[in-house]
Amino acid sequence: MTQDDVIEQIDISGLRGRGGAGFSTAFKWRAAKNSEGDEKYLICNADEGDPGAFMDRAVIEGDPHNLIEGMLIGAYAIGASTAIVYVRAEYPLAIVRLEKAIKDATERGFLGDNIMGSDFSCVLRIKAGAGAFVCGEETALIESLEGKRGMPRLKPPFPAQSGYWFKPSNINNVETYANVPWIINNGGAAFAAMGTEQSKGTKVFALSGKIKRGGLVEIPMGTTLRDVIFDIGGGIRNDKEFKAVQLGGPSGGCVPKEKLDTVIDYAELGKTGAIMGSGGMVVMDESTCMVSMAKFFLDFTAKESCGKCVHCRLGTKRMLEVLDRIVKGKGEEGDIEKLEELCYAIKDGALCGLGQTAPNPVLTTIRYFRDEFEAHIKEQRCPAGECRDLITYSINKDKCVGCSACARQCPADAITGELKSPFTIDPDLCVKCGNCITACRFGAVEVH
Amino acid sequence: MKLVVGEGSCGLAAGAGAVYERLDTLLKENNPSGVVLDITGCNGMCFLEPIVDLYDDEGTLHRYVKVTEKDADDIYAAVSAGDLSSLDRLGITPDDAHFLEAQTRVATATRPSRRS
Amino acid sequence: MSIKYTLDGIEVIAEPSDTILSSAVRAGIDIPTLCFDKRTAIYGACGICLVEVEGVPKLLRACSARPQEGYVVRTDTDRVVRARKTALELLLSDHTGDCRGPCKLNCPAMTDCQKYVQEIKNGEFKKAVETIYEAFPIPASIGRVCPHPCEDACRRQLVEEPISIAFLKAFAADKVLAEDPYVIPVEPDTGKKVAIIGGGPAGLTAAYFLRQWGHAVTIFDQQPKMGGMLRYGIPEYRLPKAVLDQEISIIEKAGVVLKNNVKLGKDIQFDDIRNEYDAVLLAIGAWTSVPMRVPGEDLDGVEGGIYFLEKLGLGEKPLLGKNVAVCGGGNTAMDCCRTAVRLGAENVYVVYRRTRNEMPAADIEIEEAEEEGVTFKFLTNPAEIYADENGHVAGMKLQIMELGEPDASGRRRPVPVEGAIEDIKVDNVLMAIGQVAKCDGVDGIELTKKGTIVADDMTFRTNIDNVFAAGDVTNRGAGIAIEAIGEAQKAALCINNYLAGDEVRYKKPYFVEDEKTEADFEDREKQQREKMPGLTPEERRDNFKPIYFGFTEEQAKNEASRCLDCGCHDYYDCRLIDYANRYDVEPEKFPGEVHARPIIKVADPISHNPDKCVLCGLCYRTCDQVVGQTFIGLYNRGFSTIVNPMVPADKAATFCATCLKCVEVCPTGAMKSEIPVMRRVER
Repeated sequence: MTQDDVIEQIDISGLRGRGGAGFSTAFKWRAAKNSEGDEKYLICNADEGDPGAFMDRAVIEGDPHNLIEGMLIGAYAIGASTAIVYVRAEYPLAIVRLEKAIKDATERGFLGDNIMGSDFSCVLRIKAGAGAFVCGEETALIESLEGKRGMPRLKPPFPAQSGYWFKPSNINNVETYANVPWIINNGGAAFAAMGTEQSKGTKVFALSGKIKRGGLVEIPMGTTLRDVIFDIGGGIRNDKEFKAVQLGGPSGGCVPKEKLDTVIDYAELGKTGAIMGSGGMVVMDESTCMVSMAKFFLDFTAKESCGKCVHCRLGTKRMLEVLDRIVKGKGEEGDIEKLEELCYAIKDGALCGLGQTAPNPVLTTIRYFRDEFEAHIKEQRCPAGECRDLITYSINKDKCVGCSACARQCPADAITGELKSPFTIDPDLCVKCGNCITACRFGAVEVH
Repeated sequence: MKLVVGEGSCGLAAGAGAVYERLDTLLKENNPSGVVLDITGCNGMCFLEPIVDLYDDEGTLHRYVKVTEKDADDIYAAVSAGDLSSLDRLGITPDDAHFLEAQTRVATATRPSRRS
Repeated sequence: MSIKYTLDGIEVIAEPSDTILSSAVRAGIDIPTLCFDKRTAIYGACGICLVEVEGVPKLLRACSARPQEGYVVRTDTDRVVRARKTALELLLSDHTGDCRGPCKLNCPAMTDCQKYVQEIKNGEFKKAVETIYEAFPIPASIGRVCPHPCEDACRRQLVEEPISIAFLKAFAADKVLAEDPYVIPVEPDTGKKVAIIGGGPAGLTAAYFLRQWGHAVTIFDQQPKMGGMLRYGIPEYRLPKAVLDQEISIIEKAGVVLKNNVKLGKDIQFDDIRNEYDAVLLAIGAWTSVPMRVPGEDLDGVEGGIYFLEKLGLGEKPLLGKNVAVCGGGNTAMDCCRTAVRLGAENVYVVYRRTRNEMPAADIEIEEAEEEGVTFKFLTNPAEIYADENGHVAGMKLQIMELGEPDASGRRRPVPVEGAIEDIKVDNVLMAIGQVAKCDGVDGIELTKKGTIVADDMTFRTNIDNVFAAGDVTNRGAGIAIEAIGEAQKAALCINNYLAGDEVRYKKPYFVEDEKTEADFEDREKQQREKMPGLTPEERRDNFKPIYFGFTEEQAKNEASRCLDCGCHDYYDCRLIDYANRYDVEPEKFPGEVHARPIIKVADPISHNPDKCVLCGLCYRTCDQVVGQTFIGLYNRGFSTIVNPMVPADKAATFCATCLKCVEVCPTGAMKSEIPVMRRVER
């Protein structure tokens, strides 16, 4: 196959970037191939920073040769003779396994000069990250590869024209490359036979949270969220009520019960306000506070912001401060509107995807769970019973037998009572750790 | 016969490392039938880790899930005795097996692995 | 192959290598940006240059986006304004600055006290006067009489005492008046005519500004000469009329027409003026003395304090008896009692129903009155004024008072002591308990319950279309001269906009303010305030000679050198405050954590204030890309990001080229150098 033949197959397959952006892979490869210059680079983004995502990790640890093969095909297609995998430092096992795979492949003639006796030569090396989520953004990744502080560059110019050392570079996610060998072996049409009109092939999700069967799930595009969660995933643990599923990590959004029949498709998921994302799928039940969840993601993005642009650096911080006040019961009238306005301004002004998508968890939780925000603000009440400052633990006198099991487990000495009589919790001392709930065999400890 | 222990990060977190070590120790001591012990990556059934896949002499796969270090001894005993019936309790339920069966594997398709 | 596109409706030609910003700069259109300098690689950090392009879903950064043929670019859409305004508000929510000293911020006319005090310190007296004239045109007069709210806010008092700002102003004004009087620059004629009714401080100030801007201005005043309360309310010994005459003549020389002895409603009719002139400003002040409603008030010998003082302003010498009582506790009462002393009264009493602490008059006035022999009768209230057989005032019965609970103003209310009466023999009673406006001859104008004219706070418009109002005659009534001047300044701006057909609105400028305590100035060496030389009480109590001689040049420079020069040195170059005002920011929208980090010593003579820094990156990028030293860089990430030298302090001298380019390009003055540097960025 010529370079163009390869790109042709990828084009027919309809493969879109699996890292979250969903950009046409063939389009990127073609752009890199057509760029001027004979020094080109193929880069694999294995930074996988989303909390709750571990699809790429499984591929690198368990099937590194699949990744290597996919990258080699890509390097051939665009005309690169150097390929680099940027793996996050928090994946030491993946790095070790990949190093071994590279060594083995090189020994067998699948990497290096004249691969399999052809004219095509390509070396592959690993660069480890250093603990920055922002380096999962492709231009910040390139800066990091060049040994600089990981801060995004302006696009355009795109990496296909000006990337690593300002040379044409193609960056794709691990999962994207992992699909390539199958496509070449079975033909692009076979891949395109699966999925929907706009989203072809399959997608890997890391199903976690309050789910009975958590793990890696790969399904054809077009499958409904309901099927993934209830059929494959087995439904909610302890048979509790489903509340929402978070897709796409800190860049994504939550999808509520009424949208469970949304099919997995880039556009369809986008309509709900969430994104496909890299594959993180966190399931939540009735005991999850959505405001607290939005705060969790904002906490993450505020910490991970590289600090370059005003909207993200200060916007995420200020949004976080508002959410922090709300979960502590100090929310004020107008806070929701203030948050929304700030969200839209940040989306418009942030320099890279981290900042542009940081408001998503906030916007979707407000969209679908505005009542929870209002309860926190107007009534200082957390409907899910999660926010520490808004809940009180108490003992139901009718259920308590006075066994003192709870009191013995209490780290704050907040529970007192006489044996065989109902015990009481002092709300001023209680730290809401939940030890008493776990210790009580009679379900007498209640949360309000 | 081949024993393959799932050693992805998920498996290791669940204790697969200890399972592998135990099997390795036992087989090193005494392995008359030449059972091969190998590792593999994560097959996605993280909720069932540690997973030990046993390929019998006909090549049929017997999948044992939530395997503990103590279970490793039982597996070794059953393999040595040539009778796997005692390991049924470690077998995967049809419900749980549906997890994998309902999926379409392309990027994460498992291929037989071989230690060189 | 040039590209044609439009920017806010204006056609711009761009080359293929141009960005929207670079082609806009060439076309002379300013797109705001904090982090762009064409000598460094495009950075895109500040987000202030965001623009909206029709048909493009995302907002684009003008500094990096390449225009395409036919692009319709807009910088004024709601989305763009929101994004830019939010960026500025976010930056200001964590920006510690001290734009201008509290003196300027506390002055009702926003006079840049700090600037002219510094200019006096440097011996640049003409420049100091020019600085004052940016706010109002009668510095020599005001410097002598103003109760100086600036001094109340002056931070020097945290060391020992505030700077003598008012007297410094008078010094510079006097010197320049004598040697090289200010000439008001006048812009070309606009063809518009403005009538100002009232030639007091408000009227004179408004006339000065409007004339400067090229309008034909006429002031109408009922008195024989201009000056208002400054001439007809404040005695000669405080404000020599010759000084006032000189300053008014400067205004007249600029072409302002002065029409005196003209009373509204009698000599001129309001409607005629309204129709003849394009705009009218009512600045007629508060010329009615508030009656005390005491039996005997209408006896011969009882008079309103301001009417008494007016006589002196008109050149008369009213006859007073041996004993004079002045009722009231404000500056007018002080003016009255001290004038009575000078007119030869043997016993002058000030009757005031509270104690000295509650007297609204300036402390110095009270002190000097005491020195001149005035007797203060605190905690007394007139109960009855009685006459002799000729119907002339013979004496006054005073109700003794004591202080009770505080009233709405916070002062303790005086309460009569049952049965305690004091009888004093007086020949004259002057009532100085307040002044109110009387709007005769202004038909159809909306009045408040108090009888003052209703004038909008921000536009100074009345209910009549082309009529504006400012000063003592409006809203809450009489205040101090500088307050009237402040309003007149803003009203003039509004009138100017009105005449040009623009939006009529005064926009309060935004300043970043800071709080300081004594601890901040612990290290300062104490230096006592200069004492104003003047006549002794004996020397002054029998004549109307000016009681103060004025500072000598040495005294002025010494006093000015005490100034702490509070405000930010880079205020005039600061792009952040410039944009903040352009976009009407409200940073109080984003309360939250504010950094409080120590100043970083970069390398002699450069220091960096991280709390003023907006992380535009120009300093380190210039050091890296333009100078090639790579001496400073960014540390930490997110909210904790900070600019810092990248080598240990002891190696700094080796790496820093002391080119001061990092200071040059800093948009907010966070990068500071002991050696003065011209701030400059290349677009």
